Amino acid sequence: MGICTPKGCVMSISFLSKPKAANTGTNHWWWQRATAICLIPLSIWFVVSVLGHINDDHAAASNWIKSIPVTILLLSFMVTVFYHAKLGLQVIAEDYVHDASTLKTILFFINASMILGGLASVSAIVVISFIIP
Amino acid sequence: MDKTPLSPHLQVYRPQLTSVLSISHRATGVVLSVAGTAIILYWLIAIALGADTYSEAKEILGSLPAKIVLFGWTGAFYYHLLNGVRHLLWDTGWGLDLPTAYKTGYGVLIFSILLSISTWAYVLQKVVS
Repeated sequence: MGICTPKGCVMSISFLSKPKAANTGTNHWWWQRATAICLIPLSIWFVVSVLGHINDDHAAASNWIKSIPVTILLLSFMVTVFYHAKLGLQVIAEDYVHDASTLKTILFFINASMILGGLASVSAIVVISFIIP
Repeated sequence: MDKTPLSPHLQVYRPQLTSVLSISHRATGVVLSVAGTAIILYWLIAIALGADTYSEAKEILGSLPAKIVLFGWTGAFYYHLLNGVRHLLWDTGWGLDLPTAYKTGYGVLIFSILLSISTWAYVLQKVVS
């Protein structure tokens, strides 16, 4: 079933034209812009302040991250950046990979690595802020 | 074999500022997603693991080759940021005509270089003092 033309169905590109795709496409487009707008201030703050701490010793770096505003901003930045990266990598893969099963495999690795990256960064920040002295 | 017609091959076109900037947006996006986040994760996890791991990481990240990589990271970041703003303006319908697209394109290039240099001037001056 679906809204594919008979030719499209025969050529097995029907997975692209399932009715659901219309909705998820708008959703994807919207979230990519929403995260982009959030990242304008967050990423400038991140890049400038992290580079400013490039010469810190361990105590100075961890104390900086432990301050509550920095913890909150860092967590917000990391979650937003990994979601924005997942959406961006996904759209590139969908544009250039034309084989359906290869595309599925690549999308799986994009999602898995961005989720793992997000979780690793969030847990590292939590460890620094709340666990290590 | 799959004979579905695809979009025209990019190779038949002469590279233009607009097309080069467009593909660079994707290229910098991929670099920032993969290498950029890897560097950030390395730095954060090194701090989380404690003072010994951190001082090793600091030595690596503070070395001259790493500083050059980080400068490239800054350049890719500012380029993607400014060109991303250009894309957001296009989404509102502004700046889509060719003369404006060229002006903003050159603007993105010039300002990403200027911002990278001034960010590193700030960083190095902070390290020295």
